[in-house]
Amino acid sequence: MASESRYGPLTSFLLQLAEDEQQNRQKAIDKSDLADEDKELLSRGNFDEIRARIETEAREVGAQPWFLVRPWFRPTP
Amino acid sequence: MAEGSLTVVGTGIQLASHLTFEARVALQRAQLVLCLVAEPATRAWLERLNPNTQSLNALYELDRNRSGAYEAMTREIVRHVREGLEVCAAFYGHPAVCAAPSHEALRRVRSEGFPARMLPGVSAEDCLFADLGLDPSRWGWQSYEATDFLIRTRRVDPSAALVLWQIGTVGSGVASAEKRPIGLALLVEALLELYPPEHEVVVYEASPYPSWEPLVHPVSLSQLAEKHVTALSTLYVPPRDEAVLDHTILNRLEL
Repeated sequence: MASESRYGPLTSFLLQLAEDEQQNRQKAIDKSDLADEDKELLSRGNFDEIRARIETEAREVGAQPWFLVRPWFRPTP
Repeated sequence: MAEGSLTVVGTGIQLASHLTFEARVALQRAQLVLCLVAEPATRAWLERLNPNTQSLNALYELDRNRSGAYEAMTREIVRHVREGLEVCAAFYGHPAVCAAPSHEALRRVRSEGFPARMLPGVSAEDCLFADLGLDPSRWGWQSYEATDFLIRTRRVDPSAALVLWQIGTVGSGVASAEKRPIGLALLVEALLELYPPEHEVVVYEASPYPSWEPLVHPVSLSQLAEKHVTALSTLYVPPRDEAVLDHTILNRLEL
């Protein structure tokens, strides 16, 4: 399977935020060197939009489409 | 001869913060991590924990039946265990919940004599309890995968809460990179036989990112439509009415 180890600035920011257990999210956003449009996206607070942007970032660096479903399906009898 | 082993873990729903200590240790100690997670940041984070991480995501084929992909994932996990590697298979959420390859890989490697175990994780339902402030013991709890709920004759108790998983793909059996709730109208139709049209249900999705709010969308049942649903939405249907007390049993128990 191909490596998908590269990722973009928004992903890096979220990883750092999670690892630092950062409590003040907005302060971390303001202090970051993210592009203004990414800061605005993060500040709006809708995770669905953020996830969509992260998936776009991943595809820009070669990742395959992301499959959003639990790995379970019972075929019809 | 190389030993080979399998540990199956759940990464929880939220990036990094939901991982249990024992799962983290298993991920870091594994010779190979095979992961199936719901978004790229979690994948990147697993790579930081263990550079020998590969994604099972590539085994999905767009618009092809998902059951074929799950068999391919199972084979991939088992293959590396047979090669003698200490494998950690990581699934987002709880690895036992709505997760076919985790159970099947465990069954196969155990049947071949390899040591194998599963560690629990934080599921979407766990997040739903916390985010919506629900105690499943209060009314009782019924929990079904949405497509499975639709295609089988279920006896629903409207005095207990009902949760339907995966309404974002209800009625669809193929791999999709976006929501595909082709059976949502049928699902609403089925629920309207049990609940009044104005019954308020909640479309819910836990946030995958720490400190971001969950999506909580209350809507009357008859109005529930595709626009309310994300690819990973869960539907919470509150009880319609209170369960009837059995006074004979109450008296016999002297309660």
